[in-house]
Amino acid sequence: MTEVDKTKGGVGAPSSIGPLVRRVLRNTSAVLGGAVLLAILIVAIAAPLLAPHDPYAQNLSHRLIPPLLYEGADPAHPLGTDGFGRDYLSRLIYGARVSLLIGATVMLIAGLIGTTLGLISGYFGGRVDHFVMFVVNTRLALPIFLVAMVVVVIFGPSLLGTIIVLGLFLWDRFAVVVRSATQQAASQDYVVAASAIGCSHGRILLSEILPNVMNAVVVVGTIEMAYAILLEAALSFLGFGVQEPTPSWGLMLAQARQYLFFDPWLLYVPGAALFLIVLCINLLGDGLRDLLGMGEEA
Amino acid sequence: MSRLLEVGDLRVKIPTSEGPLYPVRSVSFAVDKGEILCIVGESGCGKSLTSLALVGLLPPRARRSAERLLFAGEDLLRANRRRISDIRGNRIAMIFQDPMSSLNPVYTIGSQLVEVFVRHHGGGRAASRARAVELLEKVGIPSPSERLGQFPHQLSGGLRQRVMIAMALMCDPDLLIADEPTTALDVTIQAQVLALLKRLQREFGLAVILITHDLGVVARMADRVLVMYAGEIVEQARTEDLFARPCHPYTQGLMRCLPGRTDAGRLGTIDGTVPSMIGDLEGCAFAERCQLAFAQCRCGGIALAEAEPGHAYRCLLPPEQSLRHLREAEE
Amino acid sequence: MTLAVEARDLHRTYHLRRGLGGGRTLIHAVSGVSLRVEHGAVLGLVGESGCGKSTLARHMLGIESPSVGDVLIDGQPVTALSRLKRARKVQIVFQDPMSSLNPRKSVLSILTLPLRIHGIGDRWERERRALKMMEHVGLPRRLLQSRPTNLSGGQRQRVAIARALMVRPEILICDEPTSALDVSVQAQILNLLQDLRAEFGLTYILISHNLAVIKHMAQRVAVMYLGKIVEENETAALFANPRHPYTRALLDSILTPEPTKGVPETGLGITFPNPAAPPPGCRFHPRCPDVMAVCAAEAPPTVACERGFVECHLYDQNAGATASKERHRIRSMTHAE
Repeated sequence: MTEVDKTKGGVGAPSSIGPLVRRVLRNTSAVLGGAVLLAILIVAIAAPLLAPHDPYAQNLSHRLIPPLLYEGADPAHPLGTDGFGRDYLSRLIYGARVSLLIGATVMLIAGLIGTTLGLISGYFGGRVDHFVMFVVNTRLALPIFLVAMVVVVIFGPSLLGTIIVLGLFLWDRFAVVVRSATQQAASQDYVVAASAIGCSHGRILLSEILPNVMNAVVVVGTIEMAYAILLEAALSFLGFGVQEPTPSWGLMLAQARQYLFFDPWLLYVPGAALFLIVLCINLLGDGLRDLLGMGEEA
Repeated sequence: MSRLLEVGDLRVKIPTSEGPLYPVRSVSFAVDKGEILCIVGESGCGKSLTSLALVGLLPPRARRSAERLLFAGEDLLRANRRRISDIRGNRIAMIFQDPMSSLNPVYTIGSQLVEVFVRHHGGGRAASRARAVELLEKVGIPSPSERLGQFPHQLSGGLRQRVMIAMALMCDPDLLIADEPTTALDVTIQAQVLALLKRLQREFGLAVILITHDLGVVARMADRVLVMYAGEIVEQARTEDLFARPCHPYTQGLMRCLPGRTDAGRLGTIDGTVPSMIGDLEGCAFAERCQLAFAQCRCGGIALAEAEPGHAYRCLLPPEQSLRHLREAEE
Repeated sequence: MTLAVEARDLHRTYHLRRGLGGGRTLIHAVSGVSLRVEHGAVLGLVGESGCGKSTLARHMLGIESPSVGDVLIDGQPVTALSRLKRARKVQIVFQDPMSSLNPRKSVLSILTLPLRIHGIGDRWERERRALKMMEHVGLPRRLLQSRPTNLSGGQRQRVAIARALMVRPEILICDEPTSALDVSVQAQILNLLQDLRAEFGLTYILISHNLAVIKHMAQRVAVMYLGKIVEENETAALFANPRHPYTRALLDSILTPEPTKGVPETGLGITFPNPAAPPPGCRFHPRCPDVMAVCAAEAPPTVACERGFVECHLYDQNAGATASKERHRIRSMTHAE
């Protein structure tokens, strides 16, 4: 390691914000993904202001109006209407709420469960590790759709139910990745030093190891968020997730099935939206992985 | 012609986000057949990059430039990648510090040794295996034929380094570049491996460029020494001359830092730190840390001056003055 | 008067499960180590890979428990001390300055952590103490908010030393504190360690494979090989008259910067010390240039000598005529060279 004085000049060496921002902005993936995602978020939050109609308002005399650029379009409904005459654009906008809400909360729940298990497993090793890995394997053996079905049968379908089921299903990648990152961090001398200073295990895990593992958590978080959104769409499509009349892109896809040959836009619109949001999250995740991977610890 | 390698004005440039970095700035030296040349310096002085630059193994973003780079009369600057690849491993061999990362853990020792030979000499496997066994024996590894089937993790660090030496010698090279070959080894093993290296060097008539930070290794192994600091050669001499009469203040400082050099309670130190090598350096790179520096030292480039035949150093002080300072410091 | 550190017949074995099928290997990391370190002393612990010196350090630190025997700090078994009490008595400085500091914390955070754990002072008091300690170890104030990645190796090691001293322990274990540093920086750190020892009245256990450093810093030296201490003595005596063949080989291997001497041949052979399979009898016998028949059969006795001891059959007074004759034979051979 070169004995070069990197701190000459300037008062101390504050966490360099300037070059960090520059580095972030140079990463096209992160910027693109992040920007579009932010736009979707704004749209979702401002849904009541942006949506031209009430997404629940049915108007059976205006069923299946095609979107603009198609023959027979109505400017009042730029993306057309669905089988119940509800404005598709409004349902799309409100649908973003469902997707983002589910994506974020599931990511948080799964992240919390998975990170905790990963930390404990990676740090303590031995029997604890074996047990946690056993739990992970058990979880991997359970088929999500069957469980979702059972939950719906017992508790009835709901948004909360979907969130809970997904949250309890998607923590395994967090656990495995965090476990690996924890093992690596725990092998470093500063953990032994913390122990020698008198830190308790809990303190070491939260204060010393967790910050070093956060990079991995964030990257996995983006992957899981995208996955959660897709799964919700799949569950709703099958009827085990969000129910009518809540606007969910998955539900919209499900209903589009019956009109597939005559009114294909009913499929394209929510399909494109799902594609876009998942793409953005993945781009953001890629960008983050690059930025964080080449971070200070490298 | 006994001159094997000639290097003239070698420079390396690496573009960074903070500006161009020059870890090697104008290095010129020569290596004769059969001699051991040591390049010594602390971390960041450019010694490793210099050796990598010779054989075209610089990291992807680094650029090398030189006025002259001749190996056995052949111009390496004009040689294409294929030619360099033919020379590497065959006529110029390299061994590195960490034997575990130089040996591929999923292949047996034998297959890695044979691969080198077959790459450069073609030929049947039987001939290659025979040569491998012969060399393993030469480097002092017992039961060499059984070892061929072993994997790197089955051997200790010292044995792995011996295998590396054997691999380097498979094609009977003219020049061996060894970059800190014993730094990662235990003290007793280090002595063994260095003794082996010296013995083999004499036997094979090899020229060796030995890169190290350890002045003890330099003293015991080298015929000639180059001392590097901040990307430049600051002193070069025959080993005995360097240790008897070190002329450059940095060399003197290094020797003062060694525990055991004096019986004094405190060790000598060199204050300050290595200057940043981004952008150009004005004047002597060591001036900031030198107790004998004066105004002239910070202007323009400092050329190599001759202290005695075969002994040059990059400093404006005349040899008598710097040696006098050395003697005063020792009292 | 109690000793600062005392290890009494310390043994530690690890169980390693290899591969899928099982087959457990027993690693004999430390096998019967006894040490006595007085207050204010500097003990040098020398040994190569696999000798158990790092394991011994962890036991002295109290973060591992021995299989047999115990370690006493100031007369009390270290394992009986509470986590916090133990931390105030003995601390450690590691070899690798890169991994011994948390890359995500600032110097201030690293230095005040011990104070926070031990509930010392408030935020301002802690910062004040951190700055004072930085002054002691020669770190400029402007580095207070720096992260370890912005510091040089020497600066990081100073932070590590400062951190260790924040709770004013009496005993400092230095595990190869300068091995990862350049020579000029090493000199600075060693000088610093000496100054701090005088200023704070510290007791050092200095672990190093660099014998020149040990000779410079330590008052007593213990040489470890495969989990045992094979020789211990005052530094000057050990270096002037090394008794154990391994000590002799170690000293012979030192490459002093003297150009005319060439590379020493230590005559040790290439068998490497494997803590999973220590040789019977004397653990060093497969590599020993002075090996005798008894060495493979019986473990060597501990023989007191001058102001230390050595574990070797060569010095066994009770061995009788045969051993003594063989000793003379070997001695006369070595003197003839």
